[in-house]
Amino acid sequence: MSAAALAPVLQKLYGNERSAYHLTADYTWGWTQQESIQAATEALGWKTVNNVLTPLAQTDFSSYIAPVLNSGADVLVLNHYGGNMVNSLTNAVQFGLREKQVNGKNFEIVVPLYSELMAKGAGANIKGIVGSQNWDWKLEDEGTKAFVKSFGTKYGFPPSQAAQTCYAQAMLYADAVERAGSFNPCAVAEALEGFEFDGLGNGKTLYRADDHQCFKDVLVVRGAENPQDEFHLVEIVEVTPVGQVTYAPDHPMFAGGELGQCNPGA
Amino acid sequence: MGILEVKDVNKRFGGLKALSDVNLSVQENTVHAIIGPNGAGKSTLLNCLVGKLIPDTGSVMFDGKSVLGRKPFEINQMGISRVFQTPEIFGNLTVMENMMIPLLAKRDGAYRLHAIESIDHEKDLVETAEQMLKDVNMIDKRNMHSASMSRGDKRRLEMAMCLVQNPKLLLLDEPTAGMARADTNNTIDLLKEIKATRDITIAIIEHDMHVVFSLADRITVLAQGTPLVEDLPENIKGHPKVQEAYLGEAH
Amino acid sequence: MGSFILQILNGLDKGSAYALIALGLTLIFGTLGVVNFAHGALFMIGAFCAVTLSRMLSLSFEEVDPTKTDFLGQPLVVKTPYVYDWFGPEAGAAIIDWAVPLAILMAIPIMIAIGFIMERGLIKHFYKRPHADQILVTFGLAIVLQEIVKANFGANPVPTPAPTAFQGSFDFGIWLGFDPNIIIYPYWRMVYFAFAAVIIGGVFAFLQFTTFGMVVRAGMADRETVGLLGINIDKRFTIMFGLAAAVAGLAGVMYAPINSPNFHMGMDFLVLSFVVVVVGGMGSLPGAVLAGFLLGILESFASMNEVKSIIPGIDQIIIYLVAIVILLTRPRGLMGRKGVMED
Ligand SMILES: Nc1ncnc2c1ncn2[C@@H]1O[C@H](COP(=O)(O)OP(=O)(O)OP(=O)(O)O)[C@@H](O)[C@H]1O
Ligand SMILES: [Mg+2]
Repeated sequence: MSAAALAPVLQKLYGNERSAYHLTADYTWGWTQQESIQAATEALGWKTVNNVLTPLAQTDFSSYIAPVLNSGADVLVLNHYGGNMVNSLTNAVQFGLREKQVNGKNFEIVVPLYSELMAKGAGANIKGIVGSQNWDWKLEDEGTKAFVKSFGTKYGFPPSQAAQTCYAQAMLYADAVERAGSFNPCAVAEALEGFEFDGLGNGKTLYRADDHQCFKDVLVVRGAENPQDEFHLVEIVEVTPVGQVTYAPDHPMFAGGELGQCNPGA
Repeated sequence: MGILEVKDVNKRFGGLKALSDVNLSVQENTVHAIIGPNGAGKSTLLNCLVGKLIPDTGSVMFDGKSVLGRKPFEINQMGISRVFQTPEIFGNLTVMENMMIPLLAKRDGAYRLHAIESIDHEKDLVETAEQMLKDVNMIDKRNMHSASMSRGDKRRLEMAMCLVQNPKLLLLDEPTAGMARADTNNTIDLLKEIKATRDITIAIIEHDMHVVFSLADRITVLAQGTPLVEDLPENIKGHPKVQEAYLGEAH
Repeated sequence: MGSFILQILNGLDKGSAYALIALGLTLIFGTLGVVNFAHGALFMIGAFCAVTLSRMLSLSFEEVDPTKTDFLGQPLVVKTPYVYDWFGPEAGAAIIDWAVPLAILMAIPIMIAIGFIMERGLIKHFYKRPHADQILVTFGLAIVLQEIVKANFGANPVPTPAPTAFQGSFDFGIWLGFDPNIIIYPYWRMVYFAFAAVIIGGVFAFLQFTTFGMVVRAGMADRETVGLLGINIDKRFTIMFGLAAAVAGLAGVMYAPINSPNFHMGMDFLVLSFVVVVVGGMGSLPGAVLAGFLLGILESFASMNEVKSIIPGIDQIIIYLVAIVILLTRPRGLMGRKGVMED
């Protein structure tokens, strides 16, 4: 989904003739993330030079980064999240990849999905790195403004994407329990199936009944070159409308099989 | 009053009474031999003197001060050095380095650190150590790793390490065990010379009667953890109790 | 060929951190006989010394700029580091830029003090206890230390860059006659390797050529006998604990620019460094260093695409595979001595 949002921006910034080298966290999220970004970039005409799976517990990515420059690739895609991403990006910049020229083009690094918190961990290394986000405190809608105001007044800094997610999920769960009239997980799941809502900062959002996927606008962001302060490490490049990132429930890449029977647990 | 006064010392190992009511008085500047059959408690007694073991009851006074309650390094600093029954040297160090350890302890005390000084800078200590090694005929093995030496050499090194501290009281636990006859005789000569030239008291445990009668001024016979007799060497030789003890009859 | 050299280089660099931590662990085990599970935490605290110094140097005074607003729409508070004010903006910026190397000076006394307090205050009481108790208490200590750091610095990694002069990478390949971009390596990681080599060499020289080191070596062989020869070995061993803490701390300080420090980084290294110690041989200092570099290089090789294409996922398990093989074939490790931890 984020891949679909990212692709047009990647095309605009880096063109159609690119060779990408993927480093991918070796677990389900990493695999699907990589698959979708590979499909989206290949649709643009990019080549995929290699996809290397890295252990989830890895902290030093130097041995995976070292061969990248000599692989013929001119883009490095880091399908990493959280601490993985902070370290792999830091290592990639350390290896001077962003200062190199390959195939007559500037070498680029792409992180398909990242957050302000990860940007903070990566520090100056995030400068110019393109990626996508669910939400950013700099959005202008009323829900976001209200949340930033009350969070910022209490803590002295704007909320991270994680803070917003936690808050929004707690609200959604409470609402679903109320509507279901029960704490039974199956009843709550049913209340959320096909549920459409707005006002929590992410714009109009749908929890599709068919495959339990969440659909909403996606932010394409870039690490700021000269952040005015520590809260502006990331700038919003584009808000890709939900229509552009929605796919059919039976899309071959994402179809995860039947949802199965709900099991309420003990 | 002797330089070493052991009073009513008892030591149990579980059900075994290794020492029972041991009294011993060692006079200054004498050689006092402790003999007795295997398992009599001789080594245990020595261990109680240097802080390696703590007696269950009784007192141990050295030079008018109690030894009990002090750590082994403090007891050494009081002037007691000891050679073990099984050689306890530092196998990972060279002969010279082994010699340096007791010398450093002697010069600097237990606490003072001579940290960043390189070993070769300690000229005075190196000279003293070399002299001592000459005295025990080991100067040619100066740079050898001590682990690779023969058992006899290890014993001589250990003795040198104790003698070089110039102790007031030297405790020797079977110093010639495992030595060749010639080395044993050298050791006797060395100890005789030390005794003649230094202010030193020696307590020696020995099974080799030749060594005992060459050196001892007084002899204590220990059997089953209790001193049987204490007397001049000439009186011990034919003592019936001693023969009884050595024949291993129940006492 | 190029990628081979590159991974050797990389392995040496990875191995530097392993060797430094394992060296400290072995110093503690070899002297005090304690298996110190808090050693990773000391590495982590070292890294946070770098974070702390760079924060201290960036301490700022605040002025309100009414022409600008902050994210809540209130007048913007502009922060200027005091060092800018004291030394001028250029010198001030340079001082902040060099925070990590400067932190070495700060870390040495702090780490030694922490080592002393740890040994005298806690670990001392566990010498006569079984190894399992020692492991539990030091592991607990590690958790406490990391929670203290988390409470003060937060759970997120804190970027702590190397001085600008050491950012970027050096093209070794050109230097060796290869084409450009084949063997490139970051400057700071080379600094790290050189630093580790100096520290390791320094520790060995200290033990080998000073009288203090000689007494410690004797004490490592036979603690009781050194005492009977009149030396208060406990005091020297406390100093060795401080030294081992300093080695771990310095390894952490210099590591800060390689990966942004976080409270958990000690645990990430801990398991690995124990594997290093076991492979090298419990209690063997040369073994720890050798195994550190060896495992670093093996890990690098295992992550090569050529290797991964033959045995997928080998990079995830290589370290443990080596540990298993060593334990089965040489239970005492590469350079371990008889009788260590065998009672
Ligand atoms: N640490 C110990 N624990 C239990 N029993 C011990 C210990 N040390 C010595 N013993 C026992 O105490 C008794 C006295 O032992 P000790 O070594 O003092 O005898 P010894 O007179 O020195 O004999 P030897 O002539 O064989 O050296 C022996 O029965 C021995 O087995
Ligand atoms: Mg004995």
